[in-house]
Order: sequence, then structure tokens, then C-alpha cells
Amino acid sequence: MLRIYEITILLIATLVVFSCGTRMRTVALSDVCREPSDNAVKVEGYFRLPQVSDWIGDDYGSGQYRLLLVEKLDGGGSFVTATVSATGSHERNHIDALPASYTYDDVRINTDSGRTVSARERVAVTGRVQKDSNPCILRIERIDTLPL
Amino acid sequence: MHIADRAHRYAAALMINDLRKEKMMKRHLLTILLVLGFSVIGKAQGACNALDVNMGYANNALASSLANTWHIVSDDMQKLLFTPDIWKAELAKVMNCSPSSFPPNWMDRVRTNYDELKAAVESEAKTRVWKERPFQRPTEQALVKAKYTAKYPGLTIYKIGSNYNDWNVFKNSLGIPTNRYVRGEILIKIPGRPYCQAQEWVVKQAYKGGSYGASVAENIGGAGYFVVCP
Repeated sequence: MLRIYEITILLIATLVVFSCGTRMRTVALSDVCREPSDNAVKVEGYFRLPQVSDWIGDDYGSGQYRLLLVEKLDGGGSFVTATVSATGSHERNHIDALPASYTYDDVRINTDSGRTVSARERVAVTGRVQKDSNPCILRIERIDTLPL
Repeated sequence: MHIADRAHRYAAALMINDLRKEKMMKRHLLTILLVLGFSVIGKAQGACNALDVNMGYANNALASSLANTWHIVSDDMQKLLFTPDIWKAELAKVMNCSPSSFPPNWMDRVRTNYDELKAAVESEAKTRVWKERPFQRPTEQALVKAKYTAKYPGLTIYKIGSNYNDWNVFKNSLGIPTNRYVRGEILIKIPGRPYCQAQEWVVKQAYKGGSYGASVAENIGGAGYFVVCP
């Protein structure tokens, strides 16, 4: 009797875990802007900087950068514009504040696990699709590294 | 004697062989070093990483300006429109490559929107007259002017005005003030840009602990629309 009870609990827990997992859809970069507004999606790619990475924020210290998330390491393939929160103290799921004059080498991304990675490392990001502008912008909430 | 002579010759042959081998190894080493050296130089001066996506990003920005009724152009895209070589050099710097590594047709991806927006902007800069703002807010406007002058050395400020006579209070869903602001426009000519333009400015004060904080000018120099110079 106790065995059945344990198995049932285990099954329910598994179902809960899997149902939570299916809510986060992994999509191709080229399909991000086809998603409905405010949908949470997971995509993989490499961070690159545009010619001007706008600081979207205020003088009180909080803000975001506008970056490009590209499909391939050589910068080719599809891309999506993404906003990432900025930090001056290596906060998780944030990008370190950029110097006034920057290159790709200055990109320091702090992942959810606390690792700091460069623009050369492929990452999996979770974010919400914002369709206020055309094409859309992915507002990034979580950044993970991918196994090599 | 005969055996000793043969041994001597054999040793000499071995030595010559060793010397040849050493020479060959040195040659191989030199070749490897040269190949490595050229590949490093090639990488440094090679293809620019993410050039195509950057041009795609620029094309989206140009399309966005075209879709806007006022044809408001971001500072970045103004640079591309009027000083493409400077824009190109700055992008090359971000990408860690040489501007000479750009292919000759590097502007192909933006060409249609670039030409269309440039034509629209040039026409409006010769015909559209800036509408003066109805109010003056000397304190906030002085702050805005100082910020603009610092951002664009050599800038000419022709006029400035406010849309509001008094502060606008912004409240959250609970009815508690979060900040207050005034908004207006400034008429300027930025060095390197052939036309005058109007840009919106916002001065904000955050509400903290029962009183408002210091004035902060936000988003200075973000974007503008082109008008006739006074």
C-alpha cells in the first residue's frame, strides 16, 4: 500500500516537473518574432554587439543593453535583437557594463550559474518576446551556458 | 686501415645526413611559423564577424524610421546616412576587424531603405518648419542644453521649448507618485550632419521618501527629425 502511495507521489512529481518544462518552448532564432507578444521562449546562440549598443536606462544606475543574439559563431545566420540587464557587480543573468569604447572582446556575460562567459561561448537564453517594435525584441531573463 | 677508413666515411656520411635533417627540420619549422603568422594576421585583418547581422540590424532601424510618420532617425542611423565611412570605421572597431576587410558591396543589405530614407529626410529638411514649443522652463532647459553641448562638441542650439508649463506627476497603480517630468523639444545642428533637426528631451525627478530628487535629463541625443534651419 505504501509502495503504491510512493509511486503515485513520484508520478505526480514527474508530471509536475515535465509540465513546467514544456511551458518553456525552445525555438529557432529565425522563429522568435513569430511568437505571440510576451511569450517566454528559449533560444540558443552567441551574443554580438551592434555598432551602437544603446544604454536603455536612467542615470540612477539601472539599465539594459541592446545586443544581437546570432546563430553562428562566425556571426552568420539568423539573428534577433535582445535586451540584457546591465550590471556593475557581475550579477547573474546580466551583462557587465561596457566601456565607452568597446569591441566584442569586452562582452562579459554572467550566467545563471554564476559563470562569466565571453561572446565566443554559445549560450541558451530564456526571455520574453516584446513586439512593441518591428521586428521584435527578446527581453532576456535567464542565461545558461551549453555543454561543450 | 681499410675498415677504419670505411668507418670514418660512414661517420662522415651520418654527420652530413644529420646536418641535412637539421636543415630540413629548420625549414619545416620556419614554414610552420610562417603559416601560423599569416593565419594570425589573416584572422586579425580577415572577415568581420557578424557584419551581415549588423547590416540586418541597421536595415531594421532604417525601416523603422521609414515607417515612422515623422521619419525620426536614431543618432546611429544619422551617422550611417550622412557619414557612412565613419559609421563603417566604428562598426569595424566593434567587430575587431579592419574597415578594408568589408566587401565592396557591404551596403547592399541596407541600400533600398537607405536610399528611400535619405531622400525623405533631404526633402523634409528643406521643407518642414519646426513648430515652436508653447512654454519655457529655463532651469530644465539649461540642464538639457548643457547635456547636448557636452555630447556633441561644436553643436549649434537654435531654439528650445517645453510642452508643459508645469511638472507632470507620474503615479503608480496605487496612486503613489513615482516621478515627475517635463518634456519638450530642442532645435539643433550637429556637426557633420548637413541639416537641422528637432529632438525630444525629458527632464525627470524621482519621488523618494516624500520629496522629489534632483533633475535628470534622459536620453539626450537619441533621435531626431529633420527640419528647415532657422
